[in-house]
Amino acid sequence: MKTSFAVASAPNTLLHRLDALSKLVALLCLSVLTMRVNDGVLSIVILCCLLVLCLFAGNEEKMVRRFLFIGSFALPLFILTMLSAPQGGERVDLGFFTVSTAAIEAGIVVSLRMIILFLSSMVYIETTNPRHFLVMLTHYTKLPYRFVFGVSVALSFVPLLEEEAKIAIAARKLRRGNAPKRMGEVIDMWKGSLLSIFTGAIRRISMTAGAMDAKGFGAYPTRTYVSIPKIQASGYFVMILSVLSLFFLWGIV
Amino acid sequence: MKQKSISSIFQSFTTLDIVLMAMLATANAVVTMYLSTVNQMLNSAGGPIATSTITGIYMLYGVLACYIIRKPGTAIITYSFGAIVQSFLGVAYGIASAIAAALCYMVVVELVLALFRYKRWDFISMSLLGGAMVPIWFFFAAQMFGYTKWGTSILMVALVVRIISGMFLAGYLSKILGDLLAKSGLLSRFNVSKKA
Repeated sequence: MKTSFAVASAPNTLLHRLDALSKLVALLCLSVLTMRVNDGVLSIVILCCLLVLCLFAGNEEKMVRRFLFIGSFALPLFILTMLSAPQGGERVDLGFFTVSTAAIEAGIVVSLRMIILFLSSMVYIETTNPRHFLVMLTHYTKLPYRFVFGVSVALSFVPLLEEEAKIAIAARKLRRGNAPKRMGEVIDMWKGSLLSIFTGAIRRISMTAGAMDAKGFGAYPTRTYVSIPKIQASGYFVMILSVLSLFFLWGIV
Repeated sequence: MKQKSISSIFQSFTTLDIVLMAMLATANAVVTMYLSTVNQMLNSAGGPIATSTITGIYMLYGVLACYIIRKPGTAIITYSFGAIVQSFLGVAYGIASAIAAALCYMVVVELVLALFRYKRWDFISMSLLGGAMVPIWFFFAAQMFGYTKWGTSILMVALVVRIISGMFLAGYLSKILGDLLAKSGLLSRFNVSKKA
């Protein structure tokens, strides 16, 4: 869970060099297309293309771990959908029960859809620096920079909240002298820890907001940035190709 | 003109409001990550209906922000923060679904609160708000994730369970949490304490 947002773009693959907005457009087009597909074979084709793309994301070990993670979600979903989907067409005997081929295909489509949506998002996260994304959002969509500041704060809070949670839980364990055994004790400890985390978070909010106000944050309509990532020609190409591919494939699938 | 209207929404929010919304969005993203395991267990134990029982928790942060801040546009900003943070933390259902869900929630919350003129914050109003948030996203989620393949009866039961979950875990719980925090004095600089 300890996510370091600043080092998301450490390797330098083709996908890492592509800007955040172009990749987002491509990702959304892929997601829409995946949701449109209702054919098992086509879903497998899209998944295979995505797996090839995963090779460009770097950190193969992490991608494999993520694949296994989402696989553990997709398998029960496949079984449930197969069992609950309306039965029709040719029936297949699976030993304990029989299901229709239509229900099996429905299970495959739904579970592969989940895997594709998750993996494509993982490729995006692995190859995109959130700070670049936020700066581009302000620069290209003309969103107020106070919004971007809010998102930056939110992203910075994640590891801080996690760290504070660990300290709060450890402190409570030390004070108790032993680990909680009964359910009531566990709930009590969690309740106390959550309250202290939230109190700490509120204090942090006040301090952060006070510091920003003291610096005159928001006093001017615009602000400067150290660097603004630009959309290169390759980025425009990827966006146009993604949108055109979606329109073309929409009628076919 | 567009830039001006977006900026004018932001003008009414203090830095403190923005940081609180950011913190709630972060808390939601962290909770969502840990809930993935619970969701998986519920899915294995009771399928789509069991997973629907905790739907309200995913919507809680935006409703709580609205309850504490009580300004038009709170839901738009909080759910936008939530969608972006979830996207970069990695949500089990993908970035597209995080964005679509946030869009559905922000539209419904702002509409319902506008109907109440941002003045009604009692248990009934909050529960109604929580329940009203469910159907639109459920419709889109059904299309996106293929829930439509489950059959109408299962879908209808899941929808009812989700609405109840939304009413209690998003609406009712927001009111309880907001009031408890306001009583503790932690939120003395927010509208929830000033107007309570």
